[in-house]
Amino acid sequence: MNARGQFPIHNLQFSILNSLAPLLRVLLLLVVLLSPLATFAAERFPPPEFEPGTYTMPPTTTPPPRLAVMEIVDVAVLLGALSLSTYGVLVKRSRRHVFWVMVFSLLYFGFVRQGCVCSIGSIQDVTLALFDKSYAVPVSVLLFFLLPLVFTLFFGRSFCAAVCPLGAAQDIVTWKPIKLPVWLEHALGVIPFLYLGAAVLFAATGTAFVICEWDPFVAFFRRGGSFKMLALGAGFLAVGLFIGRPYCRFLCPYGAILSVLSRFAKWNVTLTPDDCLKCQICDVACPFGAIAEPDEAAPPKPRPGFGRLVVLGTLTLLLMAGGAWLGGRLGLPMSKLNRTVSLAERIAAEDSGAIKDVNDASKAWRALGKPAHELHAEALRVRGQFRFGGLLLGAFVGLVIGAKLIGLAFAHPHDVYEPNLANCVACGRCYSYCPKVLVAAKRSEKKEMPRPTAA
Amino acid sequence: MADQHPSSQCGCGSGACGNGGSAKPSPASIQFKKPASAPAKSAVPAAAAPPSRRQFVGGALRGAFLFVLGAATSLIARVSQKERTVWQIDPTKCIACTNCANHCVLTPSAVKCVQQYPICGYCKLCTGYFEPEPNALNTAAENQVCPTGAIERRALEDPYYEYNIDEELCIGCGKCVVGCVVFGNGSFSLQIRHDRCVNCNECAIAMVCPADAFVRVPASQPYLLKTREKQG
Amino acid sequence: MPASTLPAAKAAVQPVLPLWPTVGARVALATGAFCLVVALALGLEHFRHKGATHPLDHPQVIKLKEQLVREPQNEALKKDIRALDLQLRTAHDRYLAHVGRGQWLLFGGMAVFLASLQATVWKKNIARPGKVQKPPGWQARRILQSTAAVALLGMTAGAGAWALVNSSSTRVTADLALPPKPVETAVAPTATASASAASLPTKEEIARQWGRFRGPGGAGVSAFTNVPLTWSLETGENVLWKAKAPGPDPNSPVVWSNRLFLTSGDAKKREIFCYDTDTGNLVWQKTVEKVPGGGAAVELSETSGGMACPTAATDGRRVYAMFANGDVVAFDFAGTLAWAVSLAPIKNQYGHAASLDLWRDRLLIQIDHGDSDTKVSRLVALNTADGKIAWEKPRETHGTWSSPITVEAAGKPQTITLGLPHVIAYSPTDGAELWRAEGMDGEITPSPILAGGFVLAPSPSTKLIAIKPDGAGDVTKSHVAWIAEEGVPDITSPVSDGQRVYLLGTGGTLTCIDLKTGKKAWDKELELEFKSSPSLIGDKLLCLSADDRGTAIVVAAATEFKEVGRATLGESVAASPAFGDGRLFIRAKTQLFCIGGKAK
Repeated sequence: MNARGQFPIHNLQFSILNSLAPLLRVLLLLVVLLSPLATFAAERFPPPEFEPGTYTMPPTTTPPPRLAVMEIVDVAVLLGALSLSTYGVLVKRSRRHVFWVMVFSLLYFGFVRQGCVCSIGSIQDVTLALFDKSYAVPVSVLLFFLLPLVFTLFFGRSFCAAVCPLGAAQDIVTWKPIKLPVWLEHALGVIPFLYLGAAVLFAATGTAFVICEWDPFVAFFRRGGSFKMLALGAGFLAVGLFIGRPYCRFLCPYGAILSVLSRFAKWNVTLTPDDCLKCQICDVACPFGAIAEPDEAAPPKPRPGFGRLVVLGTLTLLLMAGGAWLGGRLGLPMSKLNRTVSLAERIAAEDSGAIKDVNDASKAWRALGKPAHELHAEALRVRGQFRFGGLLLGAFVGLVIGAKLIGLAFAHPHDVYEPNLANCVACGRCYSYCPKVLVAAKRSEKKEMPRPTAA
Repeated sequence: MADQHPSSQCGCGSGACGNGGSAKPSPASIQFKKPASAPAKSAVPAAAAPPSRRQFVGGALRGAFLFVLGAATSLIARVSQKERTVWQIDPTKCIACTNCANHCVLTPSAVKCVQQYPICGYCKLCTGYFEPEPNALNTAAENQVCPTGAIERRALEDPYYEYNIDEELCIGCGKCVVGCVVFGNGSFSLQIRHDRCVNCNECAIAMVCPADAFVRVPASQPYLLKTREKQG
Repeated sequence: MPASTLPAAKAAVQPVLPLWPTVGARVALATGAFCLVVALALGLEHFRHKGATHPLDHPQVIKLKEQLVREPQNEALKKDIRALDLQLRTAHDRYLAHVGRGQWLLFGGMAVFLASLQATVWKKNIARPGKVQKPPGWQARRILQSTAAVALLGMTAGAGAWALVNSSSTRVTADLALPPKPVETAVAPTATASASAASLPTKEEIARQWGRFRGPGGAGVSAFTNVPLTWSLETGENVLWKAKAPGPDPNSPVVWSNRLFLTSGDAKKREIFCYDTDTGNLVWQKTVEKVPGGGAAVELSETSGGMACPTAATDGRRVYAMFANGDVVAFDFAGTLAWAVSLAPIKNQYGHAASLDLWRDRLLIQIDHGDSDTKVSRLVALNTADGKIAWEKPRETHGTWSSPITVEAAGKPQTITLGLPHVIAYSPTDGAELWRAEGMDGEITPSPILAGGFVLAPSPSTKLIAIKPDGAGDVTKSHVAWIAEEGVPDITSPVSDGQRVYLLGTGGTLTCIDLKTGKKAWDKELELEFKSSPSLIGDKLLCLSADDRGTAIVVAAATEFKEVGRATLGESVAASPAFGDGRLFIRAKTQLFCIGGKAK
C-alpha cells in the first residue's frame, strides 16, 4: 500500500492543479506528512466548524449485540428440551416423542441459534476459563456445559438423543445404517477421547477452539461458510446415511465425557431385561451399534482374575509413561498451531533469510517495533506449555487405551440384549421394535389388561 | 452399567451363573422363561431393587462426579467476570488487511467500515474515497477506491464533503480504511456490527487476523470507536 | 422420519405398502439430481469468480486505471473504465444473487432429498434375524479382535505422533529468545580502524541500553520507567536473581541487551566478567593478559578504590575495560579478546578511576594524573575497532577521578571533562577544544551531567556550576548561568529530571536545586552514607546507600521531599546501578542483584 499510496505531485497535470487549488494545499500537506508514515492516523485535517444550524452531524450508529436476556431464553430452552427428551426416553419410552423433540432442537439450536451456543464447544470455554483468568465465560455457556452433564449423570444420554443439534442433524439423515464390526467400533470409539484431550490442550493454551473450527454442521446451520466446513459437513452427512451418527460415535469429545458419565447414570435406557426374548431385533434396529449382545453361553468362560488385572494395570502405566514421553515431544509440532509460535517461526525464518518476503502477520508485527527476542521468548513460553500439556495429553491417551483394554478384558456379563450404556444415545428406536416393550406399552394404554404369561 | 437387572447380581462373578438359562440350546425355552417379579416396564427398575455393591459404587461415583463438576463450576464462577463479552476490532491494531471481508462465517462479513463523523476532516480529497491518484474529484467509477461503491459522497458547504457508508453494500474489505488511516484523520475504521455478528465462540476472522486486532470487549460497550480525545 | 411403531411381528404379516418407498425413491432421485446440479452450478459460479472477488480487483481495471494515471486526459479511457466497471459490478451482483438463491435452492433440495430418502424406508420392517448360530468361542475371538484393533489404533496414533515429531523442526530456539546478540563485526584484533558505520549502534539503541557508567550520557536516567524500585530479599519479591559479584571493586555494571559486564582486579590479576541478565549466570570470565607493554603493577595508596575503579563501556559489539595500571582491553561478546593496549604509566595516588566513554567508534579516556607540575594528563581517544589512538590531547590538570561524558549539546557532540581548574569541552571527532570554564577545585570525583540545556559541573563539596554549552573559548564570564553552593557532593554525581537537579552528599544530604535558577528547593538528611550516585527512574530517584544494610531509598523527584519507598540489599553499595527494560541491576559489595517484575 505504501508504494501505491505515494502522491507524486508531478504526475498531476497543471490543468487539474489550477482547478484544484485547495487540493494542492492538501497534497502538499500530505507529502509533508508522508515521511513518518503513521500506522494510526492523527488528526491531520481539523474537522470543519460548520455554522450552527447549517449541518447536523449524522450519528455513528452502534447497533447493540444480542440481548442478554436471550441467553436466559437459550438456557431455558435447553433445560426444557433436556427435560422433554428425558421424559420421552425414560418415562414415555417413545421414539416418536424423542423424534419431535429432536426436530425442535435441530430447528432452534441449529437453524435459529446457528449452532453457536453449543455444549460440545463449551468444553473449550470452560477449559480456557480455568487456565486464563482474564477469560470471562458467560454463565449461559457454563450452564450449557453443565446441564447435559448433570442430566446424563442421572438419566443417561438424553442430551445426545434429542437436544444436541449436531446429533439431530445426523440422526435425521440416517438412512440405511450398516452394522460396523464390533472391533472397529471399539477402536474408533477411542478417537473421541483423543480429540477431547487435544481440544482441551489447545483451548487451555489459548491456541484454538478446534472443536468449533472443525464443527461439521455449523456451515449448514448458517447456510454458508468456508469450503472446508461445507465439505466436512457434506461428508459427515453423506457418511451418516450409511453409518449412524458418525460424528457422535467416533469424534464427538462431549460424547466422550457423556459416555463415561452415562455408565453411572442413576436411570438409563433399558429394554425388558427380564422379559428378553433374545430375538435380536433391537440389535438390528439400533443404527448406532449400541446394543450389547448376551455373552457366549458355552463353554462357561472363566472370568479373568486378579493376575490379568495386574498385567493390564502395569501395561496401562507403561502406556501412560510412553504416551507422556511421546506427547511431550509432540509439544513442538503442536505448538506451531499457536499464533504466537507460528509468528515467531515466521519472523525467525524471515530474519534468517530463509523466507525473503513478508506476510501480513509479520508486517503487522514488525510495525509494532517490538524486539524479536520478546516474541521468541513468548513463543518459547507457549511451547513450554505445549510440552507440558502434551505430556499430560500423552499420558491421558495412554490411560484411555489402557482403560479400554481393561474394559474389554473385564466386560460386564450380559445374559440378554441390553443397551450398552456408554454408547447408547437414547434415540429410542429400539423401543419401537422390541416386542416386549411394545406389549408393555399396549398394556399400559389399556390399564387393566390382564398380564399375559407368554409372548 | 449400574442398573443391571437382579439376576446378574448373584455375586459369583461368573458370567456362566447369570447365563444359566441361555446355556440351554433350545431357543423356545428361553422365550417362555420369565422371572416372577420383574416389572416389565419401568423407567426406574433399579430404584425398587435392594442396593447392591454396583449401585453403591455407581452412587458414589455419581457423587464424586457431581462434586468435581461443582468444584469446577465454583472455580470458574469465581474467576469468570460477570460481564458478557463480544468480539470487536481494536482500530489501533487493525491493518485493514482484507481478511475481514473473506473469513467471516457470514457472507457478507459482519465487519463493516464505520464512519466516525466527529473526527472526519470532511475533506474534498478523501483518501478513503478516492483512488491514490484520482483523475478528478468526482463520483466517476475510475476515481473510487471502494470496490462495492458503498461510500456515499455528499457535498456540504464548500469545500467540505460528507462521506457515509452504506452498510448493505460494505463488505468490510478495509480499502477505504487504509486510505483514511494512512493519509487522513482515520475516521474510517473497521468494526464488527453486532446486529449482524453471531458472536461465535471463536471468531473465524480473529483466527486469521494478522495483527491480533480482534479482542473481546464487554457487551455493554461493544464498539471501539475513535474519539477526538483519543486522537490527542 | 419416525420409525414405525408397529410391532415387527405384526408388520411381517401385513402387506407391504409400495407407495411410500416408491414415491420416496423417485423424489429422492429427482431431488438428488437437482441438488447435484445446483451444487455444481454454485461451484462453477464460485470458480468463475475466483480471482476477481471484488470488481475493482479485476486486473483489467487495475491496468486501465494505471493507464489513466499516465494519460489523465484520455476521455475514451475513462469511458472504457466506467463501462468495464459497470459490467463487472453487474456480474458481481449477479454472482451474489445466484449464490444467495442457489444456497436456498440447495438447502431446500437437500431437505426434500433427505426426507424422500427417509420415505424409502418409511414403515419398512426390520428383518427378524432369527437365531444366529455363532461358532463357539466367538466372544473370546471378538475380545481378542477388539483388543488388537484398539492396540492397532493406539499404535497408529503413536506412529503418527512419532512421524510428526520427527518431521517437525523449528527456527525459534532459546538463543533467539535472548535479547539480540550484537552483530559481530568480525574485526580481527589486527584489523584497521575502518569499522563500518553500519556496525555502530544507533542513537536509539544506545538510549535504550546502559553502555557506560551511569548510562547514556552519564546522566543516571533510566530509559525505562517499568522498573520496580523496591523489593524484598526475604520474600524474593521483585528479586529476579542474585549472583556472586567479583571482589569489592567499585566499578558499576554496564548492560547491553542480555549481557552485563563487570570488572575486577588487584595487583596480580585483572578480570572482566560477563553475565546473562536473564538468569544471572556467569557467561564468561576473562583474565586480562598479554597486554603489549602493559601489565605493570602500580602503587596505590591504602585509601584507593583499587585496580578496577573505572566502569567498563560497551557498544553492543565489544566491551571495553580499563584498569588502574593503564591496561585497556576490548573483548567481543563471545569473550574473545579483540585488542589490548597499555596507556601506562599512570601515576595516580588513589588509582585511575575515570570510567570509559564511548562516542561512535571512539573510546574516550580521561587520564588525569600526576602532580600540578608534571603535566602528564591527557584525553585519549582510541579506535574501538583496534585500540589504536585516534587522537590525544594534553591536559593541564593533575589527578582527577571524574569521568568524561559525551553528549549532543548546542547541536554538536561534546566531550565534557572536569579538571583543575577548568571544565573543558572537546570535540570527540578530533579532540579540538570547544570551550572551557574555570571554577573547579579540590579532589574532583563527581562527573558532570547535561541537563536542561546546562552542563552541570560539580566542584566537590563547594559548588555546582551550570554552564551553557554553546560558547567558545573561555566561557567562564559569559556562559555560567548560575552557581549553587549548597549540598554539592564530593563523590557522587548529580542527576536531573529536567526541572530540578538532585545532589546526594556522601554524608546523606539530598539537596534539590531548581535547574532554571540554581536556587535550592529543598534538602533532606537521609542519615546514611552514600557512594553510589542517585538515579532517576521516571519521577523517582533511587539512592543506594553504602551502609552495611544496603538501604535503598526511593524519593519522589518533585518540588518537595517525599520518600516513596525503601528496601535493603543486606550489604553496602558503592557502584551506581544499571537499568534495562523492567530491570534494575545493582552491584553490591559481594553480590550482583537483578531487580524486576516477575511478569515481563
